[in-house]
Amino acid sequence: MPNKKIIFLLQFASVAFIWVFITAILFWIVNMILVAHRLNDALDASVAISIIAMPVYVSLASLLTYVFVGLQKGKNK
Amino acid sequence: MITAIVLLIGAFHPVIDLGRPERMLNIFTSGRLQSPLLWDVTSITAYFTASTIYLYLPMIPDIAIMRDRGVKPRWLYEILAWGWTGTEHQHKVLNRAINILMVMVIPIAVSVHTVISYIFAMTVQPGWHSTIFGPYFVVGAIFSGIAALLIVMIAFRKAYRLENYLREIHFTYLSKLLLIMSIFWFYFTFSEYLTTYYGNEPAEMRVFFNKFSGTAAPYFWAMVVCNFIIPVILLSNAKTRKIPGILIASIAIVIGMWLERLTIVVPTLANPRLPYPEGVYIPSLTEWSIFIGCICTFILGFMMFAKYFPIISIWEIQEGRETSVKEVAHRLKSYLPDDQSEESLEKVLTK
Repeated sequence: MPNKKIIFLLQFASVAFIWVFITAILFWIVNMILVAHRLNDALDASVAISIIAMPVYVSLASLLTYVFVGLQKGKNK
Repeated sequence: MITAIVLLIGAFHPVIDLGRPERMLNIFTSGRLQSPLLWDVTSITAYFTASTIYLYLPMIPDIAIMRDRGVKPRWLYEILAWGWTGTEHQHKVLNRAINILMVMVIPIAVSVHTVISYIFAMTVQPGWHSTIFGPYFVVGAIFSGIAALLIVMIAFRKAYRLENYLREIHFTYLSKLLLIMSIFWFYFTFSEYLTTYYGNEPAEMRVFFNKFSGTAAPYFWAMVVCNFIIPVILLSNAKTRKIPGILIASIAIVIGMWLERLTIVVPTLANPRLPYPEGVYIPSLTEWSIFIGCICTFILGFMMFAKYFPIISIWEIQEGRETSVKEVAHRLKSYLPDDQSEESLEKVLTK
């Protein structure tokens, strides 16, 4: 049975993973906007779609982080 | 769980279908956001993330129960329980997050099924260029989703003797919803083909007649029988709206919805706008193998999940036992005209 510190580190890593995942997606979307800008290829459409997509990913990651922090803080409350 | 596994399989399909998987890298280096295919990649990723989180969060208290009971592998439950001890604060945080996610996941789910339809509808191909394709696909997804859910519920009820948890009433309510969706599906299908027929545009009519009386007719009419005739006959009659009847209707719907996709994709591609003769599509052995492999992957994924995690929420049933009488009494009080107290209603309900 691994000790409590390792357990906590792995739990923390699971939350960190979602942020790595979401950051990678955000970078990908920004890259696509840059490609559209460079090629002068429907930049407005790319930006419009990004404005919808990006907050969804950030909200999902924030929600998961909120639960993680809330559960850690509320262990003894 | 069904959503999460199916999305993984679905997302992997274009990689297999491309033939040259290394071309997937082009999505990362030179993707074009104005392409509906990229909208699909984006919304499927969002839906997969949201549905996985929505699957995981309500499972945390159950994972903690398994951790406390020493179920193996204990380290896995220890990590996934995220320090759950069941305090009031933790319950508050979890319930708030589940409520937010519950609202968030609906537009994401609708967007996924709509965007998949846009891949077809944004082209000017006959049979695809339709404004109602978005809601048509959403209705189809809910329809086939309920049918798949019922099949899984019936299979698990039988295999694990869950008759006390998955009661007849659950199946009755879900089957009524399935019947409503069947009628909705028929309405959308009727609207789609009536407008095409009335428009009488030559390219559209070639596809139309290919489906109604051509080489695709057996699939098209089998789809109508599976998605409308069988469910309506079985589910609108209380005598046949029992578990065997519901199972037959659900299996018919899953087959019917697969045929619907076939009749959307194949006849349009087999009848191009350019002056080529009509094509005939016969799936190769490789394609059948991929199809069967996907079904097997789904069953394996679901069995793996059921081996390690409870398929019926333990804590939600426990909470329901404690709070449902109060909730029903509160609701009854708001309906009834007389001034009965909630306590007296609770007493009547618990008798």
